[in-house]
Amino acid sequence: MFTMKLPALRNPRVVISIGFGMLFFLMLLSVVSLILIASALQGDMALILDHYAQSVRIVGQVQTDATYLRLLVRDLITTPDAAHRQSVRQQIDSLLNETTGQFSKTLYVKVQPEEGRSFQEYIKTFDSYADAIRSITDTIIEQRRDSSMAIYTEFVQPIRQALDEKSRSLVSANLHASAVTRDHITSLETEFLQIGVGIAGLAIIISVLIYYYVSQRFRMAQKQRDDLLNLLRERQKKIEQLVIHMSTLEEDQRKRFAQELHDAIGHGLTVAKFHIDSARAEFERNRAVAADHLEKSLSTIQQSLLETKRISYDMRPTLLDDLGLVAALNQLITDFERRTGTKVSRDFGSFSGRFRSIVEITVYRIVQEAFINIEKHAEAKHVSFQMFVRDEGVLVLSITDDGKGFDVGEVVMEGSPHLGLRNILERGELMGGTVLVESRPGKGCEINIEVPIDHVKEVV
Amino acid sequence: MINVVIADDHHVVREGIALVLEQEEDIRVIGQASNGEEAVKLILDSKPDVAILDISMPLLNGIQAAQKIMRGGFGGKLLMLTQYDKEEYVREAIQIGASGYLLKDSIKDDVITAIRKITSGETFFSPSISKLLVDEYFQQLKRKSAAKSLPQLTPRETEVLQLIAEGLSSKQIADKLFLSVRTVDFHRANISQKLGVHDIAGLTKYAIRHGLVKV
Repeated sequence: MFTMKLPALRNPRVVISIGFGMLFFLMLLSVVSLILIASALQGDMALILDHYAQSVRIVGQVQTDATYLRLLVRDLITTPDAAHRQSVRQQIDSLLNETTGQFSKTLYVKVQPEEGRSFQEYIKTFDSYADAIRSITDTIIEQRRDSSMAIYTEFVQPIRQALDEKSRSLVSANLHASAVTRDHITSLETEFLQIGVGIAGLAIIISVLIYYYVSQRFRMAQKQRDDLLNLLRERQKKIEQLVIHMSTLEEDQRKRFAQELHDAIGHGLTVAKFHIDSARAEFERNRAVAADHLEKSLSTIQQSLLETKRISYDMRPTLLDDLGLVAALNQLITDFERRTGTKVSRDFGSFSGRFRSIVEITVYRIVQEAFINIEKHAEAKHVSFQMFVRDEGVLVLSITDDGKGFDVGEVVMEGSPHLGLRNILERGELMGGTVLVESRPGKGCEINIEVPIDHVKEVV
Repeated sequence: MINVVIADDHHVVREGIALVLEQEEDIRVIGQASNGEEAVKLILDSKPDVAILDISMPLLNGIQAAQKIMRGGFGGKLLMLTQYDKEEYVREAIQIGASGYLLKDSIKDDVITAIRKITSGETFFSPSISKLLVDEYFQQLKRKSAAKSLPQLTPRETEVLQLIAEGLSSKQIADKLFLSVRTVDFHRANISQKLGVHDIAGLTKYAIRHGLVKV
């Protein structure tokens, strides 16, 4: 399954879509989460502030109650009227109950632990205050005014002071807790901001990567296209050149053939005809002269016959058709040795098959051209020739001479009068093969040929 | 009586040979063929003592026809006929089992002699062909005596192998020998093919074993 996905990834459009999809998703995610976090923080803030306000209000209420209680207690102690005392006492009891009842409300406002502790202490202090007040009211009811006054100054007053103190510390704890909460929220905000920045950064990195990838692909595609176009143009130019060259080559060959036909055969026949005419004219008068003319005409015809054979073999080496490339090249080299007296060491390997006829004729012409060049220009003492087939299906030929060599660049150059070497290169190219020519003045010449062969047919 | 079949795609040539042969009392032309296929059928059917076969014929050339005839169990003698004095043809003809090889130039003078010689168990080649064969034989003798120490490799290949064994890259070898890298690679591929060795280590080992480099 994984391998099935790979080709799709190579497609730039798919990669870009995936990249942009991820980018869009990340952006959406960051926006949504930021909104959610912001609204949650807003809610938390409001709730916490509300709690603080409430707890401060409760404490204030309790403090007010405590002040009122103190006034009531003093009134209780000082009043002589027993009935009034009874009513004041009832007021004190109900106020105490009411205040204690307030405390249950404060349970849910505790946000921070320190704040909770302060509340507990405050409630404890208030409880002992309430106890002290109750004991005063009890003694007052038993008519012991002096001792109740003493209790008031001895207990209620200090407790009352402690209560004030506790209330102050509670408020300060409250403030502290609120500050801590604020800090906490602020740090949360910073954290979320960092996450947001991180997501944004990731998005930027991804977009940069996408941009890089896309531009890279684009540049690569552009370069490939340019290369292909250049190659195409080059090929086209080469083909045009080859076509032009081939047609001139063909025209040249026709011209040469016409010339040879005229020189060798036409001329020979004309001379033979002259001798036969003469022989006929002399036949009655002088038999000896006539016979001489006939003899000359015969040798002229014989000469023309030889020339005809040479020309026809040159135009189409029948050995190539009848016995194949190896035999034809062997013959070519033997003829070369006989003509020039130059020794050729040859190695044909063990190959005895046939090649496609286009390969056979082209290779033959290349080798022929190479040997003609050696004969005409090289002044070589020794030539070595080898031909064999590599395992990978490449026909390989090498022709090396120890002659006077030449400057390859100069000879192959456009407009050079030495067409032979260019013919060799062009023929090789037409066949889809490679021809490598190496030479330097004074250092001989080697011509190496590689021809891919897809069809090798064995001789039956 | 010597029975003869003539196979040649040129009517004039066939008639010319027949004309010469008819002057001999003990030679009789029993059939003529104008292409290779016809010749094979005619010769295998009529079983002549001598079959004269031209090499350049349509449908089946003389060499191919001769192969078929010999494979068909022909008991007579084969006399090959040709326009060209090329050793390669002669070599092939001899390998197939032809007893004689005659150039068309000299038919008139030699054909009778050729037929008489081959029917008596000898071979016959036109004089210019004989000269070629002798030349060729001497050439081969010379080639054999000049056997090289590394018979498979050319001097250039030996040179390249030596430098490979010395640890030089194709580029370095090219610079050193004033060749292009492609030519060096061409030789490398040939060396590997000839020696059947495709890695540098193996080539180096070969070079050391044959004294091309000193260890």
